[in-house]
Amino acid sequence: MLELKNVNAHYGQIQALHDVNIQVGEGEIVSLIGANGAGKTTLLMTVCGEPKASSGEILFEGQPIHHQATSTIMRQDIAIVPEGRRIFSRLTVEENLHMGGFFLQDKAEFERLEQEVYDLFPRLLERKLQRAGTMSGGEQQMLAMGRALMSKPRLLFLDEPSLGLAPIIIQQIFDIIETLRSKGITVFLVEQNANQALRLADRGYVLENGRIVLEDSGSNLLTNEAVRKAYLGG
Amino acid sequence: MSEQFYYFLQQILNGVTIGSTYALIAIGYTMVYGIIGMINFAHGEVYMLGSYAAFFVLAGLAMVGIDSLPLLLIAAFSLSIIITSAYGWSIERVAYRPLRGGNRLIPLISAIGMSIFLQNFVRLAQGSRDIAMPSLITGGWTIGPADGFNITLSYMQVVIFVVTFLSMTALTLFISKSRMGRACRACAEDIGMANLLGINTNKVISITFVIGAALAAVAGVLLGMYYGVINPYLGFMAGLKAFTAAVLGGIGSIPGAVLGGLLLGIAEAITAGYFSTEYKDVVSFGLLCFVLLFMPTGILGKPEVEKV
Repeated sequence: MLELKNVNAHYGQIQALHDVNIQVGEGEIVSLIGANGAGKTTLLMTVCGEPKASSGEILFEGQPIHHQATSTIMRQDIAIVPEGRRIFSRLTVEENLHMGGFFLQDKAEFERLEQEVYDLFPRLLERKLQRAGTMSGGEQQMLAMGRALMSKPRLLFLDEPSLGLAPIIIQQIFDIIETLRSKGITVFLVEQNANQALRLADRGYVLENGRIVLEDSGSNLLTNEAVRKAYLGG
Repeated sequence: MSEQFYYFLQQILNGVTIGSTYALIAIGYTMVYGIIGMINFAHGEVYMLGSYAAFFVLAGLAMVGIDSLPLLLIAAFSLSIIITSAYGWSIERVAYRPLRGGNRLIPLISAIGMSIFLQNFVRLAQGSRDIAMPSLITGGWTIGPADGFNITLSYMQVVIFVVTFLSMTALTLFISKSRMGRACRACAEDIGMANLLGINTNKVISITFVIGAALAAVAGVLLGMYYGVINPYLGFMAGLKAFTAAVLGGIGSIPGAVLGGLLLGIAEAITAGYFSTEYKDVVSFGLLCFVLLFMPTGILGKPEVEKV
Protein backbone atom coordinates (compact mmCIF):
# COMPACT_ATOMS: atom_id res chain seq x y z
CA MET A 1 0.00 0.00 0.00
CA LEU A 2 2.81 2.36 0.98
CA GLU A 3 6.34 1.84 -0.16
CA LEU A 4 9.48 3.85 0.49
CA LYS A 5 12.42 3.06 -1.75
CA ASN A 6 15.89 4.38 -0.84
CA VAL A 7 14.44 7.58 0.55
CA ASN A 8 16.82 10.32 1.64
CA ALA A 9 15.69 13.52 3.27
CA HIS A 10 17.46 16.67 4.42
CA TYR A 11 16.69 19.47 6.81
CA GLY A 12 18.80 22.24 5.32
CA GLN A 13 22.32 20.84 5.17
CA ILE A 14 21.67 18.04 7.62
CA GLN A 15 20.73 14.67 6.25
CA ALA A 16 17.93 13.27 8.38
CA LEU A 17 17.11 10.05 6.50
CA HIS A 18 19.55 7.70 4.78
CA ASP A 19 18.30 5.22 2.16
CA VAL A 20 15.17 4.29 4.01
CA ASN A 21 13.21 1.32 2.68
CA ILE A 22 9.82 0.58 4.20
CA GLN A 23 6.75 -1.31 3.10
CA VAL A 24 3.31 -1.13 4.61
CA GLY A 25 0.83 -3.69 3.33
CA GLU A 26 -2.92 -3.26 3.17
CA GLY A 27 -4.60 -3.98 6.51
CA GLU A 28 -1.33 -4.15 8.45
CA ILE A 29 -0.28 -2.35 11.59
CA VAL A 30 3.35 -1.44 11.12
CA SER A 31 5.34 0.15 13.93
CA LEU A 32 8.42 2.27 13.63
CA ILE A 33 10.45 2.55 16.81
CA GLY A 34 13.59 4.46 17.61
CA ALA A 35 15.15 6.82 20.09
CA ASN A 36 14.48 10.50 20.36
CA GLY A 37 15.95 12.28 17.37
CA ALA A 38 16.39 9.13 15.30
CA GLY A 39 14.29 10.69 12.55
CA LYS A 40 10.94 8.98 13.14
CA THR A 41 8.86 12.12 12.78
CA THR A 42 10.94 13.27 9.82
CA LEU A 43 10.24 9.97 8.12
CA LEU A 44 6.47 10.39 8.54
CA MET A 45 6.56 14.01 7.47
CA THR A 46 8.60 13.15 4.40
CA VAL A 47 5.86 10.78 3.30
CA CYS A 48 3.45 13.69 3.80
CA GLY A 49 5.68 15.83 1.56
CA GLU A 50 7.07 18.20 4.21
CA PRO A 51 10.09 18.14 3.79
CA LYS A 52 10.26 16.64 0.32
CA ALA A 53 12.44 13.56 -0.13
CA SER A 54 15.73 14.65 -1.65
CA SER A 55 16.05 11.34 -3.48
CA GLY A 56 14.34 7.96 -3.64
CA GLU A 57 10.75 7.06 -4.30
CA ILE A 58 7.60 7.05 -2.22
CA LEU A 59 4.71 5.07 -3.67
CA PHE A 60 1.13 5.02 -2.45
CA GLU A 61 -0.94 2.28 -4.09
CA GLY A 62 1.84 1.98 -6.63
CA GLN A 63 1.66 5.65 -7.60
CA PRO A 64 4.63 7.94 -6.89
CA ILE A 65 3.67 10.70 -4.47
CA HIS A 66 7.05 12.16 -3.51
CA HIS A 67 6.75 15.02 -6.01
CA GLN A 68 3.25 16.02 -4.97
CA ALA A 69 2.31 18.93 -2.72
CA THR A 70 1.39 18.06 0.85
CA SER A 71 -2.23 19.08 0.37
CA THR A 72 -2.50 16.79 -2.67
CA ILE A 73 -0.96 13.83 -0.87
CA MET A 74 -3.21 14.23 2.14
CA ARG A 75 -6.36 14.29 0.01
CA GLN A 76 -5.90 10.74 -1.22
CA ASP A 77 -7.02 8.42 1.59
CA ILE A 78 -4.05 9.26 3.81
CA ALA A 79 -4.45 10.94 7.18
CA ILE A 80 -2.08 11.80 10.00
CA VAL A 81 -2.32 12.22 13.74
CA PRO A 82 0.78 14.34 14.10
CA GLU A 83 3.26 14.59 16.92
CA GLY A 84 1.93 16.85 19.64
CA ARG A 85 -1.64 16.31 18.33
CA ARG A 86 -1.89 19.79 16.83
CA ILE A 87 -5.61 20.15 17.30
CA PHE A 88 -7.08 23.57 16.56
CA SER A 89 -7.46 24.69 20.16
CA ARG A 90 -9.58 27.77 19.48
CA LEU A 91 -12.06 25.81 17.38
CA THR A 92 -14.75 23.66 18.98
CA VAL A 93 -14.49 19.89 19.04
CA GLU A 94 -17.13 19.65 16.33
CA GLU A 95 -15.34 22.22 14.16
CA ASN A 96 -12.09 20.29 14.50
CA LEU A 97 -13.83 17.16 13.26
CA HIS A 98 -15.35 19.09 10.39
CA MET A 99 -11.90 20.30 9.42
CA GLY A 100 -10.90 16.65 9.15
CA GLY A 101 -13.81 15.91 6.83
CA PHE A 102 -13.27 19.08 4.82
CA PHE A 103 -13.31 17.39 1.43
CA LEU A 104 -16.15 14.95 1.94
CA GLN A 105 -18.84 15.93 -0.54
CA ASP A 106 -21.51 13.41 0.37
CA LYS A 107 -23.49 14.80 3.30
CA ALA A 108 -24.96 11.47 4.38
CA GLU A 109 -21.53 9.89 4.46
CA PHE A 110 -20.15 12.86 6.38
CA GLU A 111 -22.79 12.41 9.05
CA ARG A 112 -22.23 8.67 9.19
CA LEU A 113 -18.49 9.19 9.70
CA GLU A 114 -19.09 11.81 12.36
CA GLN A 115 -21.40 9.40 14.18
CA GLU A 116 -18.76 6.69 13.88
CA VAL A 117 -16.15 8.94 15.47
CA TYR A 118 -18.52 9.82 18.30
CA ASP A 119 -19.23 6.11 18.83
CA LEU A 120 -15.52 5.43 19.00
CA PHE A 121 -14.87 8.38 21.33
CA PRO A 122 -18.03 9.12 23.33
CA ARG A 123 -16.14 11.79 25.26
CA LEU A 124 -15.97 13.90 22.12
CA LEU A 125 -19.74 13.86 21.79
CA GLU A 126 -20.08 15.12 25.37
CA ARG A 127 -17.71 17.95 24.55
CA LYS A 128 -18.90 18.65 21.04
CA LEU A 129 -19.37 22.41 21.46
CA GLN A 130 -16.43 22.98 23.79
CA ARG A 131 -13.27 24.71 22.65
CA ALA A 132 -10.77 21.97 21.90
CA GLY A 133 -7.94 23.68 23.80
CA THR A 134 -9.81 23.36 27.09
CA MET A 135 -9.79 19.57 27.03
CA SER A 136 -7.33 17.23 28.74
CA GLY A 137 -4.37 15.76 26.88
CA GLY A 138 -6.06 12.39 26.45
CA GLU A 139 -9.21 13.96 25.08
CA GLN A 140 -7.15 16.06 22.72
CA GLN A 141 -5.42 12.93 21.49
CA MET A 142 -8.82 11.35 20.85
CA LEU A 143 -9.88 14.46 18.98
CA ALA A 144 -6.76 14.37 16.84
CA MET A 145 -7.52 10.75 15.98
CA GLY A 146 -11.18 11.54 15.33
CA ARG A 147 -10.21 14.43 13.08
CA ALA A 148 -7.94 12.15 11.06
CA LEU A 149 -10.67 9.51 10.75
CA MET A 150 -13.14 12.10 9.45
CA SER A 151 -11.30 12.18 6.13
CA LYS A 152 -12.14 8.50 5.69
CA PRO A 153 -8.52 7.37 5.38
CA ARG A 154 -7.41 3.94 4.33
CA LEU A 155 -3.90 4.62 5.61
CA LEU A 156 -3.46 6.30 8.97
CA PHE A 157 -0.21 7.68 10.37
CA LEU A 158 0.07 7.98 14.12
CA ASP A 159 3.02 9.91 15.52
CA GLU A 160 3.64 9.19 19.22
CA PRO A 161 -0.03 8.90 20.19
CA SER A 162 0.91 7.87 23.74
CA LEU A 163 3.23 10.78 24.46
CA GLY A 164 2.53 12.50 27.75
CA LEU A 165 -0.61 10.53 28.54
CA ALA A 166 -1.60 8.56 31.65
CA PRO A 167 -1.17 4.77 31.38
CA ILE A 168 -4.91 4.12 31.46
CA ILE A 169 -5.47 6.53 28.55
CA ILE A 170 -2.56 4.99 26.64
CA GLN A 171 -4.25 1.60 26.97
CA GLN A 172 -7.47 3.08 25.55
CA ILE A 173 -5.60 4.62 22.63
CA PHE A 174 -3.92 1.32 21.78
CA ASP A 175 -7.24 -0.51 22.05
CA ILE A 176 -8.70 1.91 19.56
CA ILE A 177 -5.82 1.38 17.14
CA GLU A 178 -6.69 -2.32 17.31
CA THR A 179 -10.32 -1.44 16.53
CA LEU A 180 -9.21 0.62 13.54
CA ARG A 181 -7.49 -2.42 12.08
CA SER A 182 -10.75 -4.34 12.30
CA LYS A 183 -12.40 -1.51 10.36
CA GLY A 184 -9.92 -2.14 7.57
CA ILE A 185 -7.71 0.86 8.17
CA THR A 186 -3.99 0.35 7.64
CA VAL A 187 -1.95 1.87 10.44
CA PHE A 188 1.62 3.11 10.41
CA LEU A 189 2.56 3.79 14.00
CA VAL A 190 5.57 5.75 15.19
CA GLU A 191 6.31 5.25 18.87
CA GLN A 192 8.88 5.60 21.59
CA ASN A 193 6.74 3.33 23.69
CA ALA A 194 8.35 0.36 21.92
CA ASN A 195 6.86 -2.34 24.07
CA GLN A 196 3.22 -1.60 23.30
CA ALA A 197 3.88 -0.51 19.76
CA LEU A 198 5.55 -3.81 18.92
CA ARG A 199 2.98 -5.94 20.71
CA LEU A 200 0.29 -4.42 18.55
CA ALA A 201 2.22 -4.49 15.30
CA ASP A 202 2.27 -7.09 12.56
CA ARG A 203 5.68 -5.85 11.57
CA GLY A 204 8.14 -3.35 12.91
CA TYR A 205 11.11 -1.28 11.87
CA VAL A 206 13.87 0.12 14.03
CA LEU A 207 15.26 3.50 13.05
CA GLU A 208 18.66 4.67 14.28
CA ASN A 209 20.29 7.93 13.20
CA GLY A 210 18.10 8.13 10.13
CA ARG A 211 18.81 4.55 9.02
CA ILE A 212 16.59 1.49 9.21
CA VAL A 213 18.71 -0.98 11.17
CA LEU A 214 16.22 -3.78 11.78
CA GLU A 215 13.06 -5.07 10.22
CA ASP A 216 11.04 -8.01 11.46
CA SER A 217 7.68 -9.14 12.73
CA GLY A 218 6.48 -7.39 15.85
CA SER A 219 6.83 -10.46 18.05
CA ASN A 220 10.35 -11.20 16.81
CA LEU A 221 11.47 -7.66 17.49
CA LEU A 222 10.03 -7.90 21.00
CA THR A 223 12.32 -10.82 21.76
CA ASN A 224 15.29 -9.51 19.80
CA GLU A 225 18.24 -9.08 22.15
CA ALA A 226 19.44 -5.77 20.68
CA VAL A 227 15.97 -4.29 20.69
CA ARG A 228 15.34 -5.41 24.26
CA LYS A 229 18.56 -3.76 25.36
CA ALA A 230 18.10 -0.49 23.51
CA TYR A 231 14.36 0.15 23.66
CA LEU A 232 12.66 -2.13 26.16
CA GLY A 233 14.82 -1.53 29.19
CA GLY A 234 16.77 -4.80 29.17
CA MET B 1 -28.96 68.83 28.72
CA SER B 2 -25.91 70.93 29.02
CA GLU B 3 -23.95 72.33 26.16
CA GLN B 4 -20.80 70.49 27.23
CA PHE B 5 -22.60 67.23 26.95
CA TYR B 6 -23.79 67.98 23.42
CA TYR B 7 -20.28 68.93 22.47
CA PHE B 8 -18.91 65.72 23.93
CA LEU B 9 -21.55 63.66 22.13
CA GLN B 10 -20.61 65.32 18.86
CA GLN B 11 -16.97 64.31 19.32
CA ILE B 12 -17.99 60.73 20.05
CA LEU B 13 -20.16 60.65 16.92
CA ASN B 14 -17.31 61.97 14.80
CA GLY B 15 -14.95 59.51 16.44
CA VAL B 16 -17.16 56.53 15.80
CA THR B 17 -17.58 57.61 12.18
CA ILE B 18 -13.90 57.76 11.46
CA GLY B 19 -13.19 54.84 13.79
CA SER B 20 -15.50 52.48 11.96
CA THR B 21 -13.61 53.09 8.73
CA TYR B 22 -10.31 52.51 10.56
CA ALA B 23 -11.81 49.25 11.77
CA LEU B 24 -12.73 48.21 8.24
CA ILE B 25 -9.16 48.75 7.07
CA ALA B 26 -7.64 47.27 10.23
CA ILE B 27 -9.39 43.95 9.62
CA GLY B 28 -7.28 43.48 6.51
CA TYR B 29 -4.08 43.95 8.51
CA THR B 30 -5.17 41.71 11.30
CA MET B 31 -6.46 38.82 9.17
CA VAL B 32 -3.33 38.68 7.04
CA TYR B 33 -1.17 38.87 10.14
CA GLY B 34 -3.26 36.15 11.78
CA ILE B 35 -2.61 33.73 8.94
CA ILE B 36 0.89 34.40 7.64
CA GLY B 37 2.33 36.54 10.43
CA MET B 38 3.18 39.42 8.16
CA ILE B 39 2.18 43.08 8.12
CA ASN B 40 0.90 43.94 4.67
CA PHE B 41 2.17 47.49 4.46
CA ALA B 42 0.60 47.92 1.03
CA HIS B 43 -2.86 47.59 2.57
CA GLY B 44 -3.31 51.35 2.96
CA GLU B 45 -2.77 51.68 -0.78
CA VAL B 46 -5.43 49.04 -1.36
CA TYR B 47 -7.85 51.30 0.49
CA MET B 48 -6.76 54.24 -1.69
CA LEU B 49 -7.37 52.14 -4.80
CA GLY B 50 -10.86 51.45 -3.48
CA SER B 51 -11.54 55.19 -3.38
CA TYR B 52 -10.26 55.67 -6.92
CA ALA B 53 -12.27 52.73 -8.24
CA ALA B 54 -15.42 54.24 -6.76
CA PHE B 55 -14.58 57.62 -8.26
CA PHE B 56 -14.28 56.13 -11.72
CA VAL B 57 -17.50 54.20 -11.40
CA LEU B 58 -19.36 57.31 -10.27
CA ALA B 59 -17.77 59.51 -12.94
CA GLY B 60 -18.51 56.93 -15.62
CA LEU B 61 -22.12 56.56 -14.61
CA ALA B 62 -22.54 60.32 -14.42
CA MET B 63 -21.22 60.57 -17.96
CA VAL B 64 -23.88 58.26 -19.31
CA GLY B 65 -26.47 60.21 -17.39
CA ILE B 66 -27.44 57.84 -14.60
CA ASP B 67 -28.47 59.76 -11.52
CA SER B 68 -30.50 57.36 -9.42
CA LEU B 69 -28.90 57.41 -5.99
CA PRO B 70 -29.45 53.74 -5.02
CA LEU B 71 -28.10 52.60 -8.37
CA LEU B 72 -25.02 54.80 -8.06
CA LEU B 73 -24.32 53.56 -4.55
CA ILE B 74 -24.75 49.90 -5.42
CA ALA B 75 -22.56 50.27 -8.49
CA ALA B 76 -19.87 52.21 -6.63
CA PHE B 77 -19.68 49.73 -3.78
CA SER B 78 -19.89 46.52 -5.79
CA LEU B 79 -17.51 47.51 -8.59
CA SER B 80 -15.03 49.05 -6.18
CA ILE B 81 -15.09 45.86 -4.10
CA ILE B 82 -14.51 43.70 -7.18
CA ILE B 83 -11.69 45.82 -8.60
CA THR B 84 -9.96 46.31 -5.26
CA SER B 85 -10.25 42.61 -4.40
CA ALA B 86 -8.53 41.84 -7.67
CA TYR B 87 -5.72 44.16 -6.61
CA GLY B 88 -5.51 42.51 -3.19
CA TRP B 89 -5.34 39.07 -4.75
CA SER B 90 -2.70 40.11 -7.29
CA ILE B 91 -0.53 41.84 -4.69
CA GLU B 92 -0.28 38.61 -2.72
CA ARG B 93 0.43 36.57 -5.84
CA VAL B 94 3.07 38.89 -7.22
CA ALA B 95 4.81 40.34 -4.19
CA TYR B 96 4.39 37.91 -1.29
CA ARG B 97 3.76 34.35 -2.42
CA PRO B 98 7.09 33.91 -4.22
CA LEU B 99 8.87 34.98 -1.04
CA ARG B 100 7.01 32.75 1.36
CA GLY B 101 8.99 30.27 3.42
CA GLY B 102 12.06 32.46 3.59
CA ASN B 103 13.10 35.08 6.09
CA ARG B 104 10.11 36.96 7.50
CA LEU B 105 11.76 40.31 6.87
CA ILE B 106 11.79 39.86 3.10
CA PRO B 107 8.02 39.97 2.45
CA LEU B 108 7.87 43.01 4.72
CA ILE B 109 10.34 44.85 2.50
CA SER B 110 8.43 43.67 -0.52
CA ALA B 111 5.25 45.10 1.04
CA ILE B 112 6.83 48.50 1.49
CA GLY B 113 8.02 48.36 -2.11
CA MET B 114 4.54 47.41 -3.24
CA SER B 115 3.11 50.32 -1.30
CA ILE B 116 5.47 52.80 -2.99
CA PHE B 117 4.77 51.24 -6.36
CA LEU B 118 0.99 51.49 -6.04
CA GLN B 119 1.14 55.06 -4.80
CA ASN B 120 3.26 56.14 -7.74
CA PHE B 121 1.30 54.03 -10.18
CA VAL B 122 -1.86 55.95 -9.29
CA ARG B 123 0.05 59.23 -9.25
CA LEU B 124 1.38 58.64 -12.77
CA ALA B 125 -1.92 57.43 -14.14
CA GLN B 126 -4.21 59.95 -12.43
CA GLY B 127 -2.02 62.85 -11.43
CA SER B 128 -1.08 63.80 -7.92
CA ARG B 129 -3.66 66.52 -7.38
CA ASP B 130 -6.74 66.13 -5.26
CA ILE B 131 -9.74 64.84 -7.14
CA ALA B 132 -13.21 65.88 -6.02
CA MET B 133 -15.34 62.91 -5.22
CA PRO B 134 -19.04 63.51 -5.90
CA SER B 135 -20.82 63.75 -2.57
CA LEU B 136 -23.95 61.78 -3.26
CA ILE B 137 -25.42 61.97 0.18
CA THR B 138 -25.83 65.44 1.63
CA GLY B 139 -27.74 66.91 4.49
CA GLY B 140 -28.38 65.59 7.96
CA TRP B 141 -30.02 66.18 11.29
CA THR B 142 -29.33 68.89 13.78
CA ILE B 143 -30.20 68.31 17.40
CA GLY B 144 -29.88 70.79 20.21
CA PRO B 145 -31.05 74.13 21.56
CA ALA B 146 -31.73 76.99 19.19
CA ASP B 147 -29.17 79.30 20.76
CA GLY B 148 -26.37 76.93 21.81
CA PHE B 149 -24.18 74.18 20.45
CA ASN B 150 -25.96 71.81 18.10
CA ILE B 151 -25.12 68.21 17.33
CA THR B 152 -24.88 67.54 13.63
CA LEU B 153 -25.38 64.04 12.37
CA SER B 154 -25.05 63.93 8.61
CA TYR B 155 -26.82 61.31 6.52
CA MET B 156 -23.39 60.30 5.27
CA GLN B 157 -22.35 59.44 8.82
CA VAL B 158 -25.42 57.27 9.18
CA VAL B 159 -24.54 55.53 5.93
CA ILE B 160 -21.04 54.90 7.28
CA PHE B 161 -22.45 53.34 10.47
CA VAL B 162 -24.92 51.17 8.61
CA VAL B 163 -22.55 49.98 5.88
CA THR B 164 -19.78 49.27 8.39
CA PHE B 165 -22.18 47.34 10.59
CA LEU B 166 -23.45 45.29 7.63
CA SER B 167 -19.90 44.52 6.45
CA MET B 168 -18.84 43.41 9.93
CA THR B 169 -21.90 41.22 10.28
CA ALA B 170 -21.25 39.61 6.92
CA LEU B 171 -17.62 38.99 7.85
CA THR B 172 -18.55 37.54 11.24
CA LEU B 173 -21.06 35.17 9.67
CA PHE B 174 -18.55 34.10 7.04
CA ILE B 175 -15.78 33.48 9.57
CA SER B 176 -17.87 31.73 12.19
CA LYS B 177 -20.35 29.75 10.11
CA SER B 178 -19.01 28.97 6.65
CA ARG B 179 -16.76 26.09 5.72
CA MET B 180 -14.12 28.42 4.26
CA GLY B 181 -14.31 30.69 7.30
CA ARG B 182 -13.60 27.69 9.49
CA ALA B 183 -10.61 26.89 7.30
CA CYS B 184 -9.40 30.48 7.74
CA ARG B 185 -9.57 30.15 11.51
CA ALA B 186 -7.82 26.79 11.42
CA CYS B 187 -5.05 28.20 9.22
CA ALA B 188 -4.65 31.17 11.56
CA GLU B 189 -3.97 28.74 14.35
CA ASP B 190 -1.78 26.13 12.64
CA ILE B 191 -1.32 26.52 8.92
CA GLY B 192 0.96 23.49 8.68
CA MET B 193 -1.67 21.25 10.23
CA ALA B 194 -4.35 22.59 7.91
CA ASN B 195 -2.03 21.65 5.07
CA LEU B 196 -1.72 18.14 6.54
CA LEU B 197 -5.52 17.87 6.35
CA GLY B 198 -5.29 18.39 2.60
CA ILE B 199 -6.29 22.05 2.69
CA ASN B 200 -4.82 24.20 -0.02
CA THR B 201 -3.37 26.85 2.24
CA ASN B 202 -2.40 29.11 -0.66
CA LYS B 203 -6.07 29.37 -1.51
CA VAL B 204 -6.98 30.25 2.06
CA ILE B 205 -4.27 32.94 2.11
CA SER B 206 -5.62 34.37 -1.16
CA ILE B 207 -9.12 34.46 0.29
CA THR B 208 -7.80 36.37 3.30
CA PHE B 209 -6.22 39.00 1.07
CA VAL B 210 -9.40 39.30 -0.97
CA ILE B 211 -11.56 39.76 2.13
CA GLY B 212 -9.18 42.37 3.53
CA ALA B 213 -9.14 44.24 0.21
CA ALA B 214 -12.92 44.11 -0.09
CA LEU B 215 -13.37 45.67 3.35
CA ALA B 216 -10.71 48.28 2.55
CA ALA B 217 -12.65 49.07 -0.63
CA VAL B 218 -15.80 49.63 1.41
CA ALA B 219 -13.85 52.02 3.64
CA GLY B 220 -12.41 53.70 0.54
CA VAL B 221 -15.83 54.37 -0.95
CA LEU B 222 -17.23 55.60 2.37
CA LEU B 223 -14.37 57.91 3.29
CA GLY B 224 -14.04 59.20 -0.27
CA MET B 225 -17.65 60.35 -0.16
CA TYR B 226 -17.35 61.58 3.43
CA TYR B 227 -14.32 63.80 2.83
CA GLY B 228 -15.18 64.63 -0.77
CA VAL B 229 -11.57 64.56 -2.01
CA ILE B 230 -9.18 61.77 -2.87
CA ASN B 231 -5.51 61.73 -3.81
CA PRO B 232 -2.86 59.06 -4.37
CA TYR B 233 -1.31 59.62 -0.93
CA LEU B 234 -4.31 59.09 1.28
CA GLY B 235 -3.55 55.42 1.72
CA PHE B 236 -0.37 56.12 3.62
CA MET B 237 -1.84 57.83 6.67
CA ALA B 238 -5.02 55.77 6.67
CA GLY B 239 -2.92 52.62 6.48
CA LEU B 240 -0.77 53.68 9.43
CA LYS B 241 -3.86 54.57 11.45
CA ALA B 242 -5.54 51.27 10.69
CA PHE B 243 -2.34 49.44 11.54
CA THR B 244 -2.28 51.29 14.86
CA ALA B 245 -5.89 50.27 15.40
CA ALA B 246 -5.06 46.62 14.69
CA VAL B 247 -2.14 46.68 17.14
CA LEU B 248 -4.19 48.51 19.77
CA GLY B 249 -6.95 45.90 19.60
CA GLY B 250 -4.50 43.01 19.48
CA ILE B 251 -3.08 42.06 16.11
CA GLY B 252 -4.51 38.81 14.77
CA SER B 253 -7.88 39.31 16.45
CA ILE B 254 -10.82 40.48 14.32
CA PRO B 255 -12.95 41.80 17.21
CA GLY B 256 -9.75 43.46 18.40
CA ALA B 257 -9.37 45.31 15.10
CA VAL B 258 -12.93 46.61 15.37
CA LEU B 259 -12.48 47.68 18.97
CA GLY B 260 -9.08 49.24 18.23
CA GLY B 261 -10.49 51.16 15.27
CA LEU B 262 -13.35 52.61 17.28
CA LEU B 263 -11.14 53.51 20.24
CA LEU B 264 -8.59 55.16 18.00
CA GLY B 265 -11.27 57.13 16.16
CA ILE B 266 -12.77 58.34 19.42
CA ALA B 267 -9.35 59.23 20.87
CA GLU B 268 -8.60 61.30 17.78
CA ALA B 269 -11.94 63.05 17.79
CA ILE B 270 -11.65 63.91 21.49
CA THR B 271 -8.16 65.30 20.92
CA ALA B 272 -9.33 67.33 17.95
CA GLY B 273 -12.37 68.55 19.82
CA TYR B 274 -10.76 69.55 23.11
CA PHE B 275 -7.15 70.32 22.25
CA SER B 276 -6.19 70.84 18.68
CA THR B 277 -6.68 69.03 15.38
CA GLU B 278 -2.93 69.12 14.80
CA TYR B 279 -2.39 66.89 17.82
CA LYS B 280 -4.65 64.04 16.80
CA ASP B 281 -1.92 62.16 14.92
CA VAL B 282 0.42 62.68 17.86
CA VAL B 283 -2.13 61.03 20.11
CA SER B 284 -2.68 58.16 17.68
CA PHE B 285 0.94 57.26 17.32
CA GLY B 286 1.64 57.99 20.96
CA LEU B 287 -1.01 55.39 21.66
CA LEU B 288 0.75 52.99 19.28
CA CYS B 289 4.04 53.45 21.16
CA PHE B 290 2.31 52.99 24.49
CA VAL B 291 0.63 49.76 23.39
CA LEU B 292 3.81 48.37 21.87
CA LEU B 293 5.78 49.16 25.01
CA PHE B 294 3.40 48.20 27.77
CA MET B 295 0.86 45.78 26.29
CA PRO B 296 2.32 44.38 23.09
CA THR B 297 -0.49 41.85 22.68
CA GLY B 298 -3.07 44.65 22.58
CA ILE B 299 -6.46 44.68 24.23
CA LEU B 300 -7.92 41.45 22.86
CA GLY B 301 -4.77 39.80 21.56
CA LYS B 302 -3.67 36.46 22.87
CA PRO B 303 -0.38 36.22 24.67
CA GLU B 304 2.05 33.84 23.03
CA VAL B 305 1.53 30.98 25.43
CA GLU B 306 1.21 27.47 24.13
CA LYS B 307 -0.59 24.83 26.08
CA VAL B 308 1.18 21.51 26.01
